[in-house]
Amino acid sequence: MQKFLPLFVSVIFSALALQAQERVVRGKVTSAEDGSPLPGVNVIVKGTTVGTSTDSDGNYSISVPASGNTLVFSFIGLLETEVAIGARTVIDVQMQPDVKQLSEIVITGYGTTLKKEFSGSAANISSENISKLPSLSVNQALQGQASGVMVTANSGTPGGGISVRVRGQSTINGNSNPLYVIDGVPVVADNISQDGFGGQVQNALAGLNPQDIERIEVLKDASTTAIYGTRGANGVVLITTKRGQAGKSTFNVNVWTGVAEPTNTVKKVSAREWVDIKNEARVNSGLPPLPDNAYFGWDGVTDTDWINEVFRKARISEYQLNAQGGDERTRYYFSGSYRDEEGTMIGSSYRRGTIRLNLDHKASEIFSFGTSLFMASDLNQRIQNDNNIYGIYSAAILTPPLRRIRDDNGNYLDALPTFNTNPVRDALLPRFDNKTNKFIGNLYTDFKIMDGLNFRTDFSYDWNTITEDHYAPASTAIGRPVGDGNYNYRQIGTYIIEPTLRYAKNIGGVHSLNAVVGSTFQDRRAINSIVRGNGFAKEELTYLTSAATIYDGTSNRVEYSLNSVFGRINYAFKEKYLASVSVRRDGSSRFGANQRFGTFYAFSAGWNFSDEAFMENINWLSLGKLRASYGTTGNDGIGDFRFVGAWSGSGNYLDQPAFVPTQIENKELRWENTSTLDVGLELSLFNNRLDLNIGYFKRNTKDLLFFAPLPQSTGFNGVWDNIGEIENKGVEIDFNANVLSTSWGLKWKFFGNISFLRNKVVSLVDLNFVRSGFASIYQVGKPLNTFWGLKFLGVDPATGESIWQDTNNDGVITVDDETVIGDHQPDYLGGFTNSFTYKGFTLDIFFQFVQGVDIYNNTLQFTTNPAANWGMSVEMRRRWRQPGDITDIPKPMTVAGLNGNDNSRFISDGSYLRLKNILLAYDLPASLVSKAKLRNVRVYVSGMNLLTFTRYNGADPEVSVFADTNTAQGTDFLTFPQSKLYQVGLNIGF
Amino acid sequence: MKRLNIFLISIFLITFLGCEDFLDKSPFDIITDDIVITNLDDAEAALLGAYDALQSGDMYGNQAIGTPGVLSDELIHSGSFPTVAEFDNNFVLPNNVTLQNLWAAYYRGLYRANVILERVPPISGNETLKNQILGEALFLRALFHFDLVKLFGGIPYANTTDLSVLRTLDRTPVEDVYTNVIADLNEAITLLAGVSHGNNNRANEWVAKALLARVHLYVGNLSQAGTLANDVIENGPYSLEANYIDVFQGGSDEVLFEVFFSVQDQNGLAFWFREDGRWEYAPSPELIAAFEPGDVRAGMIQPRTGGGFQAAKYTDRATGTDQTPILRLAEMYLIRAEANIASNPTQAIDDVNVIRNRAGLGDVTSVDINTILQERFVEFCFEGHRWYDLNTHWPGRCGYVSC
Repeated sequence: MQKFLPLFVSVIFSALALQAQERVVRGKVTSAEDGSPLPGVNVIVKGTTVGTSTDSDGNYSISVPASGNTLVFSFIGLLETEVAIGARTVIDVQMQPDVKQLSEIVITGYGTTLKKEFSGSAANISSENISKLPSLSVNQALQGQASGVMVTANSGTPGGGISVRVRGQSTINGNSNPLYVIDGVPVVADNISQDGFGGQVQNALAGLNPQDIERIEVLKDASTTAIYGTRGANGVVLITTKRGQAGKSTFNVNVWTGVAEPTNTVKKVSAREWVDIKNEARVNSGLPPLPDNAYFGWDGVTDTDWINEVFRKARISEYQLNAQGGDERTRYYFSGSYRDEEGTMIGSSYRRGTIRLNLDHKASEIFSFGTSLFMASDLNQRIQNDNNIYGIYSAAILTPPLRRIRDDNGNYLDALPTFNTNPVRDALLPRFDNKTNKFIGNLYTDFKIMDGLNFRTDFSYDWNTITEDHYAPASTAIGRPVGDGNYNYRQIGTYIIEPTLRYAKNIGGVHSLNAVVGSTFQDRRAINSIVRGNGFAKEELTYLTSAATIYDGTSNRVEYSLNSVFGRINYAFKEKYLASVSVRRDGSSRFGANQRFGTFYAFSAGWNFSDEAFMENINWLSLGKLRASYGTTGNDGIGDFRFVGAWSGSGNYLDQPAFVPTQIENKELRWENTSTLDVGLELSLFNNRLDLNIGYFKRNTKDLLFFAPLPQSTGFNGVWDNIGEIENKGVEIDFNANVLSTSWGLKWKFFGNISFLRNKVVSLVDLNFVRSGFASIYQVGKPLNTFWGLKFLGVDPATGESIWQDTNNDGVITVDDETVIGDHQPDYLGGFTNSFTYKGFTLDIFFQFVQGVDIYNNTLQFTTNPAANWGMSVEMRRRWRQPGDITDIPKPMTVAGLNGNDNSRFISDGSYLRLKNILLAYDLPASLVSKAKLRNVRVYVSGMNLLTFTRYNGADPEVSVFADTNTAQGTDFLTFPQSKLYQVGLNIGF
Repeated sequence: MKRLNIFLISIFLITFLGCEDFLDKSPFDIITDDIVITNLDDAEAALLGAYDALQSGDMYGNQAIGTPGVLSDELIHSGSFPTVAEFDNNFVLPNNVTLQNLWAAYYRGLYRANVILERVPPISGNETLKNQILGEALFLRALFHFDLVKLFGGIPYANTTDLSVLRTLDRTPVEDVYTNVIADLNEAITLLAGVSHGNNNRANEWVAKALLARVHLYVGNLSQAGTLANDVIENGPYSLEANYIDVFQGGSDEVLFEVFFSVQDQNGLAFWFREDGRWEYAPSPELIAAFEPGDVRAGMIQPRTGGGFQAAKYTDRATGTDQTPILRLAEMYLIRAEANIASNPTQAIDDVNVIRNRAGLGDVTSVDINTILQERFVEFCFEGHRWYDLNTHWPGRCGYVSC
């Protein structure tokens, strides 16, 4: 009877209500978990558009029209609750957390799965972790958050490239970036700039606004990635943006401002020391010392700290606004943001504006449609850097401190007569404006054919343009002698049509079936153009119209298409026994007619053993799952038309067109084939207080897309071929604990992850090894990014000369004694966050760590070489000076000899523990906030890269000069260091 | 019914929308190998592509001049590239990228020449044009091999485009390389008889003869070298410039063959040599000392604003259009002189004095090999000769082949 009473009452009263006039209902909404008031909860009268939301104390008041009889309470992350009004005027509601919505769902390619029924391997990063830390880009937000995902910001370049590797590198010449899919649209994520700036590429995802993101899934194993076929081998990053919730419109404003500076920089010796060391080198080499002014006319006084001159405390601000709301039929999410960022190096900056509109509309019971529209525009003012003779930081390091920046008249001086740069001048005078526009649009339609069966079609367009507007005046190193300019334009447009049939059915709570079948039509068109000119009459005339000579102009067009069918079936029996099969058949224009199509598949199985009868009495185990999967994926991430024997019309002689061969034909070229075995154990212990996931994977990639080196005597560097095999295997552990939850309000959560990854080249061409970068090689049996050179054993205290290992025992030291001297493969890496909340306070501390990795510090090779005229690092203060000195820096000489060869003296331990992010936030008490008619007010201070514990002998261990390479990671060469960032911010919701 | 229709439409879309054509993409900026040379016009464009190889910065766009210069006493290393420093220090490591790139550039050129030599013979068409194309390709193949053998000694001799052969090529002995180079040039001389281009940027019979004269000089066949040089001087349509400086302005009557550069097709010579560029190389003290007082050719060396000296043969830093001379008539005079030292000393003295007088210097009264080497040193400064002159004339050697 008790069960029926509410129903009975509500029927009676709703009958009465029909006759009643409009009335006011009020009440308080609280959390069922801890009884705290819930602000911002949407309250609507069912079947009407009448709605409101709760204030900061959880109170609401709503005018219910005569026809209304039920209130619907909804809030993101909480179970939607319906309450019959009856005759009541005060309705207090307790809302339950929607565990399913928050954490119990996994988003996969073309669908979602209940987490409990999911038998693949995917990492999830929730909006909580993305938006609370004001990270600068979407891919940066992945850093340290999930096991098996290695994220490295290659340098501190604003808007600069970030390398993301899911479960290691499985290719040599193919693309190693994961596939990024935003709301179902695979997007361009590669560097699209057409100019080199010395190594650092642009991050194509820098344009996205991290605050728009609801959640990110990183799909890791074959059972989740096989449905992406040829593009799945490097993992898939699924980004889901926020969508509107039915209810009163809510607004959110977030503003932060900060100051950035380099984490660390190279330290150089003074001018006096520099000259003394040069003279010491002459004496050691049997030459007389020279007077001061013989060194580029040094006046004996000037001591320019070039590095200090080119860095600054940089200001960064960001303004964000979003609004969301809607009713039962139409929901919207709208956001806009603007970032204004100075680079820590003079002359560099980054500005970005974004707009997003996500709409969902339910037109009828069977038809709904919606869009996700995103536009971003950014302006990246770049400077030359890294491995570039005109690089600003490069020149600041390599230039001795002997000359002044400007002469007495204020005109810039060349820093060295032999080296015509002046880092300050060359940073400030040229214009390297890279303007990027990005549009990602998705329109979906969804027909409900019958209960559980939907026909959804996604129409998407991903549009990227970059305009590079460059000019260097005649007075700069790069512009001399007459000024040099170029104007590049590139646009890449991709349209995708993906019809899918989706079926989901749960039969009697026993059989759960979830299936999808669909196809993809994808067509990508790119056009590129470059115009270069020089000879500018005056430095004020900076565009090519004023160039005396247009000496180079190119334009071309490239197309790529992909046509696929795919399908997947997930099946669960009583939520206990899980199985899934997926398959994709891809056709890609990147391969010749013989090898155009490929089929990829995956199987997985899972067992929720904690649901078994024999586990019933084990109360400390809330969930225990064993899962395993096996499957194949591909990689077609090479350029287009790599299979054809190609001639280009780009040659010319006598200003007449000429054909030149550019590529050797390989009709059998096909994609890389990756097979992945994955097993895992997922445990949830002590009433979900502790979650532990342990996984093992083994991933083998065969038929590597490899630009197989040819002897140069063939006339070609190499040929595109499928050669060799790479293995990645590893153990991944994710850990999630509610350490403490006290009655007096203190909560402590800990989550962390650690990955142990082993990479190995299993087979390759018939070559001993292949060189890459400066001191990197790859070789069968060794991990990629192995370092190679002479083994430095120390400095002979008697003579001051380097002692080398005679590897081949032939009694003489030559380059034949080179051997493996290190590798850039970490023993393990990961991250962990401690999150404390107490009343309104939140403290989040996020550390990231990498252990047991070598870095080849090529900067040191240049800055400890007194034979050259480079700036010298303070390491030179340890140099050998007299017999008996025990040191690791050999005596200065005027000829570098074997010290100039790649050697292990420049290998350094790049392990680090870094305080990546720290955030202290305070939410103003609800009572105060509500007086201002606001929903919430949060103030916060945070910092990025504030502390680093490392023994690395360079500036910053998070470094990679060859940003886009798979085989020469971990080389530090004059690389722009990472930034340290201090922020304060304010977040207001109303 | 409506729902069934939607279902059928969905099945149709998923299964039938795609078609084979969707994946047939054509490249827009490349031509495929099978159709690149189908007629003599194509062959001509491919031949220009072989000439284009000469323009590489790793060849006559810079390194073919700079690298042997720094190896010898002609240039010193004044810039910052460690690989160039290795040449200057005579401590060249195997991974010297500059040298690797130079090597690769020559073989790129060889492939382009060999494609023409393999594919043009079966094409029907104007026989004269066909012979000319083949003759020029032979000349280029000889030049590329000759430069390589001079610098590296025994080299893989490449006369095919067959990848399976090329990728396993071993060193060919020096003598065999020279035999082939001489054979190519002799054939080129025949095929190019009567050809005139109206410029000195492509090979004709005189260009082939002049190169063959130099080849014979270097292998020690002095009399053949002298005969060919004499033929070029007496019968060729070339004449010495009155002013030395005019030789290097492009299109000079003295120059038999120079590599073409233009605003659209620039080189980096001035960039590498000049103070407003990298100043990677500077004239050596030995070279500076080699000029006699009054030698107008000393004007090829200028003081540099920041101290030291710079070469002035390639000066167009702004647009990089300096032509790179490879063969010029002055060399033929000095080759003829060298061939006549013993057999016809008067002629030898006259020939040397022609060159000296043009440079504003007085007569010599006797000529020996040192006179010739001195004259070649200053006359051909910054033209990439010195290292090879020294190697071929080292005491006890006459050319690479023992005599």
